[in-house]
Amino acid sequence: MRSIVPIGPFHPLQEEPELFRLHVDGETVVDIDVEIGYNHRGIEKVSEGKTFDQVPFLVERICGICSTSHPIAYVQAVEDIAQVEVPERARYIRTIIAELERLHSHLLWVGLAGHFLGYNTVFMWAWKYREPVLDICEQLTGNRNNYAMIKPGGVRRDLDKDRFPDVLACLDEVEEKLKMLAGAVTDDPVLHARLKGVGVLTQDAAHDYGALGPTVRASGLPLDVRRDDPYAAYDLIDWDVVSVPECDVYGRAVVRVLESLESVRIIRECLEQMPEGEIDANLKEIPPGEGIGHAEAPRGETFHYVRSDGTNRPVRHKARAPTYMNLPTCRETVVGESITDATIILASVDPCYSCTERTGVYDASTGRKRLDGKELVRLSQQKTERLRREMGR
Amino acid sequence: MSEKLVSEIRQRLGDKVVDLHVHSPRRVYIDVAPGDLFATATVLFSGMGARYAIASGMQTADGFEVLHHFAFDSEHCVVSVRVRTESADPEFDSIAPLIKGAEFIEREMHDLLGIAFRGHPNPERLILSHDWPDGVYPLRRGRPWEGRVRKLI
Repeated sequence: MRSIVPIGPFHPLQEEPELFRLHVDGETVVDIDVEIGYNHRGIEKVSEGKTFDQVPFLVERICGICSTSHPIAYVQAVEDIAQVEVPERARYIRTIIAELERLHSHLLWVGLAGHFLGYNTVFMWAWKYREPVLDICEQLTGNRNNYAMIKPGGVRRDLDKDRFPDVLACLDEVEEKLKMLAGAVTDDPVLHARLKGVGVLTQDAAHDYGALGPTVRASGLPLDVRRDDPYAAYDLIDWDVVSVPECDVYGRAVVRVLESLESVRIIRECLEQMPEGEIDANLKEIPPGEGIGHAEAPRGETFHYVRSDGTNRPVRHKARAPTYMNLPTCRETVVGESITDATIILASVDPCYSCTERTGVYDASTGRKRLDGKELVRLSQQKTERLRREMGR
Repeated sequence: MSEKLVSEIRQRLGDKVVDLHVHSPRRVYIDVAPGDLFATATVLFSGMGARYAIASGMQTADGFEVLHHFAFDSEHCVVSVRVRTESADPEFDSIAPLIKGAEFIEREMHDLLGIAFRGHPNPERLILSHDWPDGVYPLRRGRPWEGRVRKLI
């Protein structure tokens, strides 16, 4: 019997709104539609009203998990326009922050993947091990996330050398746990049964869809912007691109876990090799022109295009998050699979909806704006008041 | 480096190249006529194995332009193909029949900028809600914004 199972756009099991329509025949998925747009925040338009120096704070809020990948890609686009050399110490600092982010982002995914499989022990463990990584982020930058470290021409703050021993000790501990997780993923027969041969994305399909990050590296294509168009300090240190030929969900899990171990290696090397010196090129004016910057976020390449007309604001700023390219691959990976596996396959690209879309409320019948920013703030304050009253505080 | 790549692209594209600008060793911009866009994309994507990164559309002073960004990862270079039009109702050939990764972004450019893509396999709205008013494109310039003008006391 054919039927349609809608997941979303607002669903108790989804953290973010998105609509997947699974057309099923019995338990087999025969077709899938994806509808996005429920989380569009108009960030590209807002960016046109910000100065080049303010935009990093804005794009940092595109994603709540990989918050530093967007600023890095954006400032590289601006540096591409101005053709400015970033000081070496700043390049190392960018690398450290980006890798800490990859580490905690991949641990978050491992936990969620466990949860989607009904393997909640993995969820508890992975998220427990993620905490110390966030602590390191806080020690080094002052924040667990949204670090506000990146600026065009360099970084905003220097790292405090006195904190490095604590960071290194913590990395040792995290590395040990990661090795255990790697062992668990590669050895566990239950995980093999659930993940191997599931959600296959062939190399040709990966190329057709322009798939990115761990999704494409698990299909045997070792694409990684960190090596293919080196930025920050990735060309100054020794590390390896992780790629496996599996093409399935298992491959994507293995890539993420092994990549986390590479991240630990990169951070260690950076902390040891980082030279003293300036952290900012003191970029004053952005000439007219256009620039492209891309960075390898935990989910794949983040791509930013910036056009300048010589004023202090961009005239056009395009931001593309990796999920934008990875999400449509579900047409290849989910169709033909059982509906039970659809969740882990959809989760295997580590989708990030907020990043993929970047609200005003309009009246559908008249096309007029019904709520503006002021009104939304007022509504939110009213709600807080009401909740406070109901809870008797 | 890009010299070898640039000469190969020049040779393969021939007179389709209206202008070729090497911005830096890793960034190359090629202008082509709108009629040659699909053929150019075919050469870069299918012929030379480039990865399709994304497109970025914008409204310029004298019309509209779309840049399709192709990444040549093993050559460490991003090649952007530019098409322009001076029409007030911009329309370009869709490259989505060739590159599945271009389906979303062409729909998005239609939503936000009002650029139409001829031959798109699924020209539905992507970002905007189904009840968004027709003909209102958020990223176009000169659009009257209600409530945007504040009264000074």
